[in-house]
Amino acid sequence: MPLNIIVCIKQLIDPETPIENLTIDTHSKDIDTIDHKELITNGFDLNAVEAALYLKDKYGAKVTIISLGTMESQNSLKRPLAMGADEAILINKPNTPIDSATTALLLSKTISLHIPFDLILCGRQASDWDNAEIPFRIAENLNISCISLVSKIEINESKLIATRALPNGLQKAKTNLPGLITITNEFGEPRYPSLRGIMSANKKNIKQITPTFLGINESDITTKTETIRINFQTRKKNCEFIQNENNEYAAQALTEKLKNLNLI
Amino acid sequence: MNILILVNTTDPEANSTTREAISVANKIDNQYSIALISKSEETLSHLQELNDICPNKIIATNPLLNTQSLDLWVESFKQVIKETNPKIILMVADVLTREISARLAAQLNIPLIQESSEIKIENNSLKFIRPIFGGIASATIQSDGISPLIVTLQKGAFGSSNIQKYPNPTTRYIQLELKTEMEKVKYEKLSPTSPSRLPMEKASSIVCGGRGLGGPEGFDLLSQLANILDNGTIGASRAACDAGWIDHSYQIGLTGRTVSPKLYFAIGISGASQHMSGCTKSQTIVAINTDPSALIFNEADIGLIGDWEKIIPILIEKIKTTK
Ligand SMILES: Cc1cc2nc3c(=O)[nH]c(=O)nc-3n(C[C@H](O)[C@H](O)[C@H](O)COP(=O)(O)OP(=O)(O)OC[C@H]3O[C@@H](n4cnc5c(N)ncnc54)[C@H](O)[C@@H]3O)c2cc1C
Ligand SMILES: Nc1ncnc2c1ncn2[C@@H]1O[C@H](COP(=O)(O)O)[C@@H](O)[C@H]1O
Repeated sequence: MPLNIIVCIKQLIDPETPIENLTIDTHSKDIDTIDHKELITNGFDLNAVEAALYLKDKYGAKVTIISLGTMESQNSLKRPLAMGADEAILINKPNTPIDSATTALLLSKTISLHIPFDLILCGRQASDWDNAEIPFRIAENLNISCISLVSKIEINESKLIATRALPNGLQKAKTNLPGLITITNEFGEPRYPSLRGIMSANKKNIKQITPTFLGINESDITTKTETIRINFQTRKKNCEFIQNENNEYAAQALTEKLKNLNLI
Repeated sequence: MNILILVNTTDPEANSTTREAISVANKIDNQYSIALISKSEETLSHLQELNDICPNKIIATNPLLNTQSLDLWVESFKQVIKETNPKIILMVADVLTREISARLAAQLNIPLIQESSEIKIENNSLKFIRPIFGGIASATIQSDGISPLIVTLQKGAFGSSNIQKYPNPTTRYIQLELKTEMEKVKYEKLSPTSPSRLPMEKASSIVCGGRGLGGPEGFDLLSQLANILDNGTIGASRAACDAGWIDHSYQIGLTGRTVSPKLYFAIGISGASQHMSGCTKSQTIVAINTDPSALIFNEADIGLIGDWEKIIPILIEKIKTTK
């Protein structure tokens, strides 16, 4: 029996966008790019796609990608399909601002109502708000086990054996399927789509699901917290430059400076 | 009882991190409790420093509590919350509590604010400020004031100056109800990456290398420099770790370690906000970079435009002769 694997991916602003190209959207109380550049897939989520494809190559699996986002997100769902995922589902994001609880609810409902699954993969965190919250909410909503910060996975007789990459070292964790794991960049670089992959991805349909279809009316959505403002952090310091006519001189000047500051 | 502080009793720094949370609680409302969970009360003796600095203490135990198990942590804290009905639940953010807080928020169906770095009281209501987008911006968030709320506190952001003595603290004991089946995931012991290394968080000087090193060899030279500095060690950017030049446990930044040494060398590092979130609290940042427009020069105290490969060997000699 091939595994049924689901990967949750989020589309967001490229976290490497220079600050001068960013602006604050006062309506949604979030960050936007000034030129409304296309969104990209969260980096850790591509690591999660790679993890799913690793399992597919090794054990055989059907890989379904799910994203809650706007219509713009459709384009970026093509990439995981081109990498080798089988299907993609886009849940249309409501127009009203939604919080993590609602996001997780919409994702959980889609998963439990529409797809049989053995394993759910998520990124360790979304690099916009760095919450690391949605995956845990999904796991709790579905009442399945979860393992975070995973850099290696194996499956043995429907047991999942994961290695977690923690700040102080590595830790093994085991659980029965079904389960959810969050993948960290230590898992390894996501593969590049092949030409054949790109062509077949273009032929694949992206299934769309609305919140109403999941039994959630937009007018019923409430949030328990509210963002009241966003500010850019300006951290510019006055950097004192050491003249670098030649390296010998610069190294000497730096040494003296550090000595004067009592740092060496 | 309005505020409940949930303590990560396995954190070797729990005494000092909890002081921070207590300092925050003292500012908001001086009727708060701290909750310590463990197998038995005896295993909490390392936390005696907390004895008389909070008004109420809760000790929740069960011999089945294996503190490796996140499932049991979540269940235990959930029981403590249900027994005490707090309005605000505070935890100091670390890898363990970031997961526990999210799972508690889901189970209790309440909101969560992660990594708050500042808390203000404006118009009688609490405003939580937290970094977003890797630290280039901050969001100010308020809750509806009705639902209980979980807040994780960024380590080191609050200090612990606001501590009061409570000579007669109350202690409440809770017997946790745990069953072995609750442990869905079995965790093995952590295998430390390199136990002999000086912990970065305790180093006085850190020499950090990035993609500009061009390969793993650069770290040998950086180690030589670190060895002649006061209590020095090396660190790395994510780009250098992802390239496989050095182990990920050396990574400094948003998804790595947070450090605050006296002296921080950023060598061949561009200064991305996600890297800087891990080192801005350093006392003096020295940047060496070939690109005069690199962002790192906006955040460094001392800058040197140049090639590390040429400068560092001479710098090592100069520092040796000065010492
Ligand atoms: C959610 C998220 C979390 C992240 N977490 C972290 C984190 O924890 N830590 C982290 O570091 N990054 C993190 N990043 C990545 C971060 O955004 C940057 O990509 C990364 O820090 C870049 O590393 P770097 O500065 O070494 O490389 P680059 O940005 O490539 O910079 C290399 C620099 O070296 C200079 N250089 C080149 N040759 C020389 C030479 N011979 N001498 C001197 N200088 C030279 C170049 O001018 C350049 O400025 C994260 C990203 C995301 C999205
Ligand atoms: N809108 C979304 N659609 C699909 N998956 C999401 C969405 N938001 C978050 N996730 C998943 O949850 C992970 C952590 O996100 P966060 O909790 O927002 O930091 C991401 O890496 C994704 O795998």
